[in-house]
Amino acid sequence: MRERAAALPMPRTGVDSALAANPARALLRRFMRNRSAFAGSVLFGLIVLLALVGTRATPYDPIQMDIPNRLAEPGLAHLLGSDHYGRDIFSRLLAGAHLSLLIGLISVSLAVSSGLLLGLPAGYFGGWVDMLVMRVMDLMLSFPSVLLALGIVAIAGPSLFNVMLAVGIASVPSYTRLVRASVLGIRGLPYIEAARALGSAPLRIITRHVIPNILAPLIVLATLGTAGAILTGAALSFLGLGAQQPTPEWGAMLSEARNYMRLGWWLTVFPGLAIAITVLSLNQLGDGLRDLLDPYMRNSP
Amino acid sequence: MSKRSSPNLITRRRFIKIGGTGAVAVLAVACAPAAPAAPTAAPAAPKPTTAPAASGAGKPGGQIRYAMNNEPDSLDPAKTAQASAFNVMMNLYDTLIWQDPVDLKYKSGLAESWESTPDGLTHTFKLRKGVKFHDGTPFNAEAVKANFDRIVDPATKSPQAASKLAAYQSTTVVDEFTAKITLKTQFAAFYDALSQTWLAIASPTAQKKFGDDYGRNPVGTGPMMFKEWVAKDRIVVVKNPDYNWGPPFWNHTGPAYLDQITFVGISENGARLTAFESGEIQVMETVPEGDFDRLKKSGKYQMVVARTPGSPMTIFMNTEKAPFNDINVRKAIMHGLNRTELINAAFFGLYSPADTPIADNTLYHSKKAVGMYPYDMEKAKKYLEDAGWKPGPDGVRVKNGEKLVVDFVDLTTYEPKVVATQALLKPLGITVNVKALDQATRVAMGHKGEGHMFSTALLDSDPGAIQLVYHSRNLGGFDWSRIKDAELDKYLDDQAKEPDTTKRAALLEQAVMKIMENAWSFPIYNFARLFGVSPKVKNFRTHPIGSYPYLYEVSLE
Repeated sequence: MRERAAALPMPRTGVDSALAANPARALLRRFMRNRSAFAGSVLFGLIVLLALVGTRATPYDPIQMDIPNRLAEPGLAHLLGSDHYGRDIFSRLLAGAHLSLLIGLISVSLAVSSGLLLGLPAGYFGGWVDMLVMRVMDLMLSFPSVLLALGIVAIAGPSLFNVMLAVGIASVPSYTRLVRASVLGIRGLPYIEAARALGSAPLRIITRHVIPNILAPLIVLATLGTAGAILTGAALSFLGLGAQQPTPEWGAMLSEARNYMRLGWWLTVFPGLAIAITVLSLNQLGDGLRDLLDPYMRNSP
Repeated sequence: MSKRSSPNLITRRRFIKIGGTGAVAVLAVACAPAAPAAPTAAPAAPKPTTAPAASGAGKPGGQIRYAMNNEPDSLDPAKTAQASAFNVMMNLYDTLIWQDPVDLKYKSGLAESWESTPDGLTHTFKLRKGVKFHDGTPFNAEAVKANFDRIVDPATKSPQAASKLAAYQSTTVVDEFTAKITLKTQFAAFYDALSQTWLAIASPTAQKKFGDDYGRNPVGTGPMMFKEWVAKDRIVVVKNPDYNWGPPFWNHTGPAYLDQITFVGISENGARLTAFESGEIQVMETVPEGDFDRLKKSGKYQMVVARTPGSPMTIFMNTEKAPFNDINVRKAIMHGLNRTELINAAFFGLYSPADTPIADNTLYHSKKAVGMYPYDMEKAKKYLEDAGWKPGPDGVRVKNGEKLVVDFVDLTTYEPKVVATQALLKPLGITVNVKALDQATRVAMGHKGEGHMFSTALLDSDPGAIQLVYHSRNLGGFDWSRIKDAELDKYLDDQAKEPDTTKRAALLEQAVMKIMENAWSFPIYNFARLFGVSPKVKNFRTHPIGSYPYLYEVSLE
């Protein structure tokens, strides 16, 4: 997809000419018609809403132990049951939701901005800048990203913030490569040449003409990347490198619950589902956005 | 290290290295369990935690599979320090004397009788006649000498047995069945040492024959004979038909009931549980507490809580570091942390609360320190106020702008204990950071004093073992509270040499009182090992040290 997007000539073609009067509304309409994107965004919107609520109020105190009511089955008192310390799982999931989203958001923001910072000059100027940046990226890509993140956290010490940092750093190369490839694809196009002929400075060309035209694939990758980042973050927390007790981070909850999984299915199932649903919604959204923004796929159902 | 030894035990090898004197055998436990006995009306004598042998003959025949949580490194008692090895070796070997699990007295084993000189330096053992090793070698005084000389030989590099014989000078063969052992210095725990399988007598012929491979081809005099060891899979032992020299407190004489025992090492809790519940194995060691509770409630199994002697699971508070350099803060913790609630929250109420650094089922346990620090939130708060820690805006106490935050460093497996402590100390205005780490890291942090709270238990039949965590020579080692007290050192040094039991008990009591009065450590709960036993297995009971089962007594229905 990356290559195709990069090799694309001028994306605006005839099919939408009737709607060209209001491109934003046209995009929205197409978005609504795309079931995957719509379902994904609704689901993700709901999760964001719950996360916002969770930072303010939860049915129970998420870290309060209640030994007499430990391992309560899901029911009216405890919607999703209680864990081995009697803590309400629903409250913990709510209270932890924003952490997972933050892991995704912060690490991807870090990766996107670093990707732009490195990929734009590499693609636009080429030469030794390109050479230098891309060899470093190749070096980073030679490690599996989870391993790289693991190494970074191991050195920086276990904490949620370090996990965000590590996941972000580990995904910098893919964003850099995407940005560079996209820039290479449009660098020689007439409108860039025109801008250059008019005497625009490189910085202006990059910010005014290059960035807006490479955003589409970047948005798609960032959406899918957020899902990946949440998963990696949960994995690192599962390994005890992320959130520390008693923070109800989903990966950490799953990790803690696995020692008690024979005592109640709800201990592991719900944190697992929470991670799965969040990742699924983002993947659906990302897929939908790709369908919308990739002109080659635009006319396919 | 962690690969070779059971993950929940501090390796004894390390303990011994740091322990120095070698007067004690130590198996320190990362954290642990205890029996449901209420310690209120403690009897004068330590409470036996193993039931007397059931009378009535068992049915001979049959075999069992026994799951440990790791595979031993060697079955040579001189060359291993692992609990899992002890477990297997107890069936293959005999010791000169045995400790009775009920009255805690020493009973005859390969030695029929013994006497010592009043200075405690010379011990003469009359050996049992007619005993043969599994390879046919006759047992005699020469065998005793050969074993003990081999253990103390530096070339043997004994990780555990040599420290038990640190005071050993020589063995003289008086006649074929009389061995005289001479010690260099007085050693109060000598008989205790002799009763442990680390000092079991192996066949000198086999040791010569197999050389360095002896640990994989063990030959003893015990009720079971080694048959095969399939690496990473199983160790099989079979009945010794000639056996008739067990200690008097066992439930029968003659050969063992079982024809065969297969020991398997399964380190993953889930896999071990599955094998046990599917009936593939009949005895399971180290049942996770939550599952112990579940299996017990199912009513389908015999669930055994086997108390271990030594030191209870204890929280050590780093006295060199603020805020624990202030005795008031330490006392506040000891009054403010509800042990019963902690045991309920973290361990499903399986263990009993502990009161003193020497567990109530151990020799020379003293009642004097019992009940010194009852749970009392108001008292705890007052101690903190006195120390200048006032409630802050977010509920956490502050003093001079510093928040009352402490790091509790412990093993990942025992995170529940730390999490429960965190929750239980929160109402007091103390924030506990959970530092759940791997064994090597957390031990290193304890040794360096990086952190405020640490915890461990000690497993030993001799209470002198506590020197390991309280003597100042172990500063930089397991003296995790970082105590440097000349008076306490003296009590600990003197008791190690004191041959008179009454005097020794008094010295240990003084040491215990000193520790408790200064709130140097906080005994939390009595350690125990948790077994799951198939209902078909009869007469399952455990040895006093480390709660190893007497599989000799076991029969099948």
